[in-house]
Amino acid sequence: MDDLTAADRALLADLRDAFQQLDPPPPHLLHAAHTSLDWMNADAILAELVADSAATGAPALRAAAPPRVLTFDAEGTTLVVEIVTVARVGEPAAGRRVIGQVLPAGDANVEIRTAYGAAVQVRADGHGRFRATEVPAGPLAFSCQFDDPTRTPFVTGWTTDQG
Amino acid sequence: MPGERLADCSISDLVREATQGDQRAWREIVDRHAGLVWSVVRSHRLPDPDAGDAFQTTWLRLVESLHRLRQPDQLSAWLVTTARRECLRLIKRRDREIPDADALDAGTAVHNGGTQLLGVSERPVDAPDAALLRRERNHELLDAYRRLPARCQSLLRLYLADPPLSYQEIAELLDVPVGSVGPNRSRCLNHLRKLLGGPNDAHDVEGGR
Repeated sequence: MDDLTAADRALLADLRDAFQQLDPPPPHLLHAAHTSLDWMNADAILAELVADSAATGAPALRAAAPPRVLTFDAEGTTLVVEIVTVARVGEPAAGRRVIGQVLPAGDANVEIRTAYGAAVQVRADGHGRFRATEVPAGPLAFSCQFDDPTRTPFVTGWTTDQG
Repeated sequence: MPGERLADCSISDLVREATQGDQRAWREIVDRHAGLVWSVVRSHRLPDPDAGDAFQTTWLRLVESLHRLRQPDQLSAWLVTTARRECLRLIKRRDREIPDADALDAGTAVHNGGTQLLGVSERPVDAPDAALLRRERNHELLDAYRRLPARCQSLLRLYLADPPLSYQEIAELLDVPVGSVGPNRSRCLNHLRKLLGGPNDAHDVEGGR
């Protein structure tokens, strides 16, 4: 037995309308959700974002944008990436440089995806280090496939764009 | 699933197909549950970047777990639990305050027989010029909703999730006794009505909006 009055029902219906119209799941998030089956292959695991310099720093106090450092953990394998925005005259945020390292180190294929499909493929060397330039603006996601078949491949979720 | 309309497929069928890499089945799973996951995420009142993170991570976790999902028909419950866990993880990571769920008045227990929370309202089709007015009204309503206490925002958002959540699920998400959901919902609606500035009966309950 529900105790809703007619006025309650009407207000709830209006509120539901307001949520649906003004705060539905954002299209870019829906897009990311739609593509996540394609992004994660069956044997990969999801690396968790454990630290984000954008979440803790105070970038507003600095004149130049500091590099953003993200740390992911995939069941004991750590991925650290530094994202540096390269600004050119007349072409702000023309591209970004991504420098990263996988630890424990190992030769691996690293893929950097940008939000709308473009992907940059790079190799991580014996020290687990990799580097990519001209990475377009927008959210990024990383995947890593080791040459060593006993090591579990992993992918990360999309970084949120925080300017 | 060949020849069958996706909309007619059961969740179990869709999960099975998606496990084998069927993109259309996967999209259908996402489309059917995106509103629910978003409601759960929104009820935690995270800042937008964190809300986005929790939302997308929930779907990646599902892909990760798809092949070992024991009860595909329980997918909604699985998504709700996972989305909540991701939200709490983010709250912890950024050391933010959890919505003040404990402050929810336990109130007196009421008997809530059904799990379906709200009937579908019969609404007349709006005339084109009414759309603008409705949008304006919706903005006012959402502004008022955002001035509600945190616990009311969480409760109402979860209460209106689609597909709907049971009282039991809402109580678990808010960490309150199941009997408090109904009374608190009524209290929150009264509060919302006050914020909208009208007396209780100002709202046209005859549906003639």
